[in-house]
Amino acid sequence: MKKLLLMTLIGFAFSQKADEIIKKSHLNYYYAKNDGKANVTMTLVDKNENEKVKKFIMSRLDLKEGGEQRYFIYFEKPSDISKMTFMVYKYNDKDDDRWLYIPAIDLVKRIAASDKSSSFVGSDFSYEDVSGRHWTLDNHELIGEEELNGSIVYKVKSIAKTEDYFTSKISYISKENYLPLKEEYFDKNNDIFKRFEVLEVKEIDGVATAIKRKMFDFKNNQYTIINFDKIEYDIGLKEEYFKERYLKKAHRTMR
Amino acid sequence: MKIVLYFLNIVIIFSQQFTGFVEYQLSGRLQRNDLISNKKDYVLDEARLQLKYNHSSDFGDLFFKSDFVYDQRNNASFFDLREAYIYSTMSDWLDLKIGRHIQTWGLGDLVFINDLFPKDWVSFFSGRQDDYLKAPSNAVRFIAYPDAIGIESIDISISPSFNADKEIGTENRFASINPLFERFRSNGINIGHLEKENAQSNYELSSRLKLKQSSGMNIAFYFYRGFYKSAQTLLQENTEFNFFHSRLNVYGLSFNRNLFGGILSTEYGYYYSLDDKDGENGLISNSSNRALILYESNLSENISLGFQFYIENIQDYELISKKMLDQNDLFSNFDLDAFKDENRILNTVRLTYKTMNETLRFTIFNFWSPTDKDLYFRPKIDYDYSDQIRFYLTANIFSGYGERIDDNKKLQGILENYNNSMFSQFQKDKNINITVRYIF
Repeated sequence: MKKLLLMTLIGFAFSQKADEIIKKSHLNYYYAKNDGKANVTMTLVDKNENEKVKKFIMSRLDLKEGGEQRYFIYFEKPSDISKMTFMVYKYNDKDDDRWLYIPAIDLVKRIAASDKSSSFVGSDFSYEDVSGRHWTLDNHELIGEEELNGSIVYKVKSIAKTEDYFTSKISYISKENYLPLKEEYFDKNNDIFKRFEVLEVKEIDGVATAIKRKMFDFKNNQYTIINFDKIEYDIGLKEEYFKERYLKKAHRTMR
Repeated sequence: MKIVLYFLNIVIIFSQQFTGFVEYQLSGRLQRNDLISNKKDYVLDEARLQLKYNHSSDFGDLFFKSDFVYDQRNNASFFDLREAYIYSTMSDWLDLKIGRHIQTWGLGDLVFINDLFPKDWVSFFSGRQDDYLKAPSNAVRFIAYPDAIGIESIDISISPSFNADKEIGTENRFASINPLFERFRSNGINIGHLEKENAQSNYELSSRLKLKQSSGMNIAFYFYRGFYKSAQTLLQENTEFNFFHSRLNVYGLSFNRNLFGGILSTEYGYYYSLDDKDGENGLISNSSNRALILYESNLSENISLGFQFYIENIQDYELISKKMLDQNDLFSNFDLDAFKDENRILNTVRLTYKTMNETLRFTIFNFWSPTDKDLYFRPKIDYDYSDQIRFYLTANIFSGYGERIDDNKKLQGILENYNNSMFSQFQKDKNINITVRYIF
């Protein structure tokens, strides 16, 4: 009985520690500084090694640390989607608000906030992979520490509290800078179906930033690589830049 | 082939400064239509080069987009200036867009109430890409963002001259069957075009007031001052019939919000017919109320579904037959019901399925009208083979399923087997379009 109590207490302590790690990692990774901007190159590689490339500029503004955010995407390539823009108001407690601007017909379209697990602009990354999954949606457990490509990482197992597109996830979080260096997603049969990896980290304005990221889709045997270039933090984005006005004519700081 | 090579040459020269595409498209008819004078088997057979140029500076954006078209079917080549404008931020609260541009607003899905910017249904019905449904207009657009409570923006767009929709009969690709005009034709009456049409020398104004989003709701008000977008008939001195565009004002509003994970949109417009305020003229459209409601949501990660209900209610409908007859005996026994209904209902459904990382997209868009008893089925497959090469396959299937034949015409054997409602009149213009596009 004593042993059981002790184990429960240790278990509780580990889950609390795990919660802290995941939360810190989330804030570091998705809420770095107050705002940020990057030139993004997204390369999709299918099982036959055919590549498709999209280029866009992505800006982010945090209204509240760990809370509401604004995202703005200005497409550049391929040329048939150049000047197209996409804006997301991300909330933690309700569905996102999303708008798409199609320049060919000058149409601002409000679009339904789809499943957070759905593909982000046709890539193997989901919306949630890009904007983050709130740490309170899962139960976390610290299952160990190990070395990964020369970094010491916490190994955290997360189990979705309610039925979701994954059943469990293992995150490998750098002990040094709290970046999630690797994540493995498992389905209900405990089979891995996607794997996220950080391929390159660079310190920018004091923030350890994953500038090259890869998502491997085991189901379709394909992957997407996202390269971040010209990353800037705290450039002074304002809430008013995330309005319909700038969907149609992106603010000069966001293109 | 020669023409394709010619275009490719131009592409290579300009690709340094310009982006755009070259494409070839063919729309084959699924049946012959004897009403089309040249009896061609194709609705479209054309090569197109589009060049886009964009220059951004602190002053604003300069944008240019033009198509060069070789129309093999009609044996013509032409230059179609799609857009050429300057879009400038004049101050913190004012943007100005001036030049030739394409404009869109309102919330309907391919159903337009407060969007009275010009449309090109010939392009749409023949399977050109959806953006060709919207035609450009020369306009000055002021977009103000006053820092006033509750107001997001005020748009005022002024066209110095009226922009009509492209009439379906132009380019001789489709045959429109209008029982009114058939009545004229069978009586040997030619309808001319009004020589000095008010619309031609008159401006058009479209405006919108948008409120700030509050509690997730977007609300907008609209006002349009201009003319009916398609031609109507004017009887002059009791003998001469002419096509003309009659005055129209539209007062409207729209609203949308998130609901049950999808988007609910509604739009309303009152079409005020200024040349026939009280329905006294049987030939000019009466005022009408138009409203739509649309719900769009994602059924799964890759499947989305949208339903739309649209209704149009004609005021003083009961007067029309009588007033037509008052104008001319020609209209005795005219089957008004076959021409238009007091309440016209149009429903649409859009189903989209995306696969292979959204590079393969299946769309089914279907219009059907329980009052006109007709439908327009528009399945489409888009395939991005690579970042440069795209394939599009679009079918335009028109059908009628009701007894909507003008009995009088049927008796005379003129329009046998033809229906005359909005979509069913194109039953013999069903076509399938295949487009290959190279993007640079």
